[in-house]
Amino acid sequence: MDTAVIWIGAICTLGLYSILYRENKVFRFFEHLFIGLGAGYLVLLTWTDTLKPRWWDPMAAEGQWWWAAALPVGLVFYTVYSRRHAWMSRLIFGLFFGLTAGQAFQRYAAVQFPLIRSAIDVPLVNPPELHAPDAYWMTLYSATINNILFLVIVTSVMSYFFFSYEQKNRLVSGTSKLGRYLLMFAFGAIFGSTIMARLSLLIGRMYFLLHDWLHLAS
Amino acid sequence: MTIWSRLQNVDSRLLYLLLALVVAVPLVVSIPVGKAIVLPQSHAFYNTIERIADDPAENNKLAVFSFNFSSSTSAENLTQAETVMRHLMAKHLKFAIFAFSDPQGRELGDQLATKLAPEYGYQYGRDYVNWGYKTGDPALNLKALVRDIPGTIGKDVNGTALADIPAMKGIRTVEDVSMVVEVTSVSSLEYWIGYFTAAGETRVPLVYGCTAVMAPEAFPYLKSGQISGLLVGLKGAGEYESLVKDAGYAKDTGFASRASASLSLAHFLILFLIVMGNIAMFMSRRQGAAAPRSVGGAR
Repeated sequence: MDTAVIWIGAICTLGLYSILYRENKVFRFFEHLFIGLGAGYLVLLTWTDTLKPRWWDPMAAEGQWWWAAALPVGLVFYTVYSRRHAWMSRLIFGLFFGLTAGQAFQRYAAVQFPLIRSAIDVPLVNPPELHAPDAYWMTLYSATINNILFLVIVTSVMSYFFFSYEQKNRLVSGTSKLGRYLLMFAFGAIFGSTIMARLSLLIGRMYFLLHDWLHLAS
Repeated sequence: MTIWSRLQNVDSRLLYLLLALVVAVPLVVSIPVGKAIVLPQSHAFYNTIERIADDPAENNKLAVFSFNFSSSTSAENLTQAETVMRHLMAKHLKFAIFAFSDPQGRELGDQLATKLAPEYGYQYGRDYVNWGYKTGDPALNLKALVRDIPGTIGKDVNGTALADIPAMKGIRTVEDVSMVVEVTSVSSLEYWIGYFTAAGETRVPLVYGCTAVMAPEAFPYLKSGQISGLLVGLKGAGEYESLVKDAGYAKDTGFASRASASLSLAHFLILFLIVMGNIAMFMSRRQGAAAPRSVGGAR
């Protein structure tokens, strides 16, 4: 059984990588196969892990008949496909939009405010994180330089995004230009991380082919 | 056609072949790359688990191990999850496998725990439990978990009520959770920070393993203390494997350490190609700029 699974995995991997040579029907077949499998698996797990234990079983086996009311409410979503009844879907969509917006406010405050505070609420010299248990790698100098760099970068990048007035002053335009270059550094770092992520995925598949399938890798 | 314009028009299939060779050769022929240099964020991840395991008030609580990824990123995420799970098992910490972003997560978590359990004497139900995949709005799921874990999850993947599972004994609210281990390839971090980890009397430590592409956005959370440790892609997994092996929690390092030579060589190749591409572009431009002047001069 394991051998069959490995062979199927290897054939699927090679089929999908065939796109690197050129567009072909083998690739299209495996692409559709994966999309279909993914969609089918999602539907199955939604039933077995959520709907059955949380909705069907209480309603059908434990006498909690009032859960039946959830079905017509859920079906109202699908009235969007009927011109005559589409107004009903707006009610349920509106309810969920409101709910999601409210939660987004809560999440924004809980996530962003501590971030902003941690960025501005520190002394430039001898910051408190220097004395944290995991800060053995920091020195007084490196922590101070790090904080000054942070301040310079934030100021420069923010000045780049001030479009409300023309940047004629040499100091402002110079700072803005520095901000642009610093942004490029950041994009470069993100690009480098992206390359590492993609290479990791390639290595994972190559290891599967060479180790599990062909038994060539150690 | 000059050599510079030829360099700019190399068949991309040739580059793919070159990359495949550079990745494959170190996997077949072992190339020593030395010991992994463990970065502070990986150390912080490791120390968080050690601190919880050594704290009598915390080590009998439940760790939530969130598998929010699919097999497509298993090279990074599953490798991270494996080495972290080894650490949890070696320290005898109870944990619950949970997924709310990708349905494959609960299965990958289950396969991993089933593989490692015999090595560490772990038993399903007694030492760990699989809450399964919970669909719907993650915000609602996590907000509900804060107040009532058994009521929100209901049953485990085998259909057993959480109240009947020994590992879940006494686990009712966020106060009974020792930490959250989030291994992910999607933007799920903000849900944990926004709705769960800060909802109790004291902040629940959150340690985060993500794909390398997501890491630059995660570092500010480390500085603000909203996450207590970070593993960056396959490299972070390799660092953690090294920490876990050095502490004697694993017999050997794993896939991430074996892949480090391929990763390093592939990076060198990409850098080389970028540099060559840029040189070729500048030289072609220079020659292109020189050509019209000579034509103009002839007139």
